[in-house]
Amino acid sequence: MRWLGSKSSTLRCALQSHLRFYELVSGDFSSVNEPIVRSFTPNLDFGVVAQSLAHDLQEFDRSAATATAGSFFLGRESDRTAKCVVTSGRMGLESSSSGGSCSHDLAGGRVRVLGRVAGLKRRFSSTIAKRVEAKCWSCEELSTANPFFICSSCKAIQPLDQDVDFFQLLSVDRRYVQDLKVLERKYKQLQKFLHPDLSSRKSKREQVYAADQSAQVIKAYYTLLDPLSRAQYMLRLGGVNIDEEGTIHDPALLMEIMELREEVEEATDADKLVKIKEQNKNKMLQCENALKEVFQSGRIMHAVPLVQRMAYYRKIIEEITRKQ
Amino acid sequence: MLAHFAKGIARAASSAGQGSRGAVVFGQRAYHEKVVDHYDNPRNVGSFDKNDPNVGTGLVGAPACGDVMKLQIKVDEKTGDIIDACFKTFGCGSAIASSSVASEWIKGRPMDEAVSIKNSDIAKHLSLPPVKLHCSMLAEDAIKAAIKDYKAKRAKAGTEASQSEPVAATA
Repeated sequence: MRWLGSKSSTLRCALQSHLRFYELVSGDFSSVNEPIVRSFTPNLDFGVVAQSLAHDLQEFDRSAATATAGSFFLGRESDRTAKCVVTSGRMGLESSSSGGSCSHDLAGGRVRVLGRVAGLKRRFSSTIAKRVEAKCWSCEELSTANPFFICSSCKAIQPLDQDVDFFQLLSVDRRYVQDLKVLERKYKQLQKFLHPDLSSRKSKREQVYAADQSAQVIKAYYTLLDPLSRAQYMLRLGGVNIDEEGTIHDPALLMEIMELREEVEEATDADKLVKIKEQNKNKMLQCENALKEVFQSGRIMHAVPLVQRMAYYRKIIEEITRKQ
Repeated sequence: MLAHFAKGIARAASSAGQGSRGAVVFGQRAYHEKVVDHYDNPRNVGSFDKNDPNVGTGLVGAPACGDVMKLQIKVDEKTGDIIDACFKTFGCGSAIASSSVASEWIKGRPMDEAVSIKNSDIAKHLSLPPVKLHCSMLAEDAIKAAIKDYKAKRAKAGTEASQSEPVAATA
């Protein structure tokens, strides 16, 4: 997952839209030679691409100037089209010549990013305004609501849109730091009208949609509620699949975990177990705080070892709970 | 993660459909009897002194499932044969069974032969379902890590010995 790139001095994003093919290009290609190819998983939007792009560029060339480009090959079956508006100025590009704005259509399925990239300066936090033009399946009324749960005109429940990520679903900002009370409130608000029990008098089709929507909202809520699964989810959105990471050899971490597991195994009294559990909870909290900084800085690859460490502590806590 | 899990179930269900004997009970996936055997009676559980110059220690982990595995070998320095092996694994039944099998297989074998043990051999022996293949992978990595550790230790001891020789001669 390495980007290849070289320098370019200006950034000017333009949109060239063709049927199912959209290209986001930077202006000056004269000094850009090498193509960049990167595959992303579904549910991806430009903010994420931009963020991971920024991270890799930071690693690749800290002194590079500015410019970013990417071509999006999109394909999806549904007729629903989500529009994402990204203003490059807002994305924090430190370039005076980066005033242009670009937009592209989001789509599901696999998104392949092929682009030519020069550098980006340092910090890169993205803000995305997303606008959706979706058509109600029942009355064909157009809606700009995102996520689109219920048609405002005919009140028909809409099908689940897999392209909407969990943050969008609960309408919270995509960032690691989350107010858990806000999450809970949003979750409960949504369940008030999405819960399948409420649609028992509606059509079969709507019942299915309500069940899907409601299940997805539950999944989103519990994923974002937990600091570990939230981090794992954000990594996945950034194209890093932590579930498939193979064997690790970090001796310091593994030795620590081995010793902790032995301590748990040998512990006979309840007080001792409570003490180890507390220690592990503190360690998880430390990881969580470190993750806040890492995600804030946009260097998501640095989150990987922290997430791994956190997963081990979680496992130990589970083991203690099982034993208690 | 859920999707990953569901995929695993689907795969397990499809392999059940092909009739993997003893691995499936009433549509629910259960461990193969060999896994259960190694889990209930793990072979060679224990520890060697990791500072012993003839001991190699392989410490590996799979963070995705919270597994941690330690495999140690005792090597005859003259022949290069693994004369003893032991392990300690915290993880699921398949990870414990895989390391148990690995420790059994490498005992009495020359290091060069032990290093060629493939995870697929272990997985096949234990009839591990596809979702559990990474457990046998962990065991393979542990063998490799233990042998690497032993060789690194010997190399280090060798250079230290050659460095200390002239000192001994002058003394």
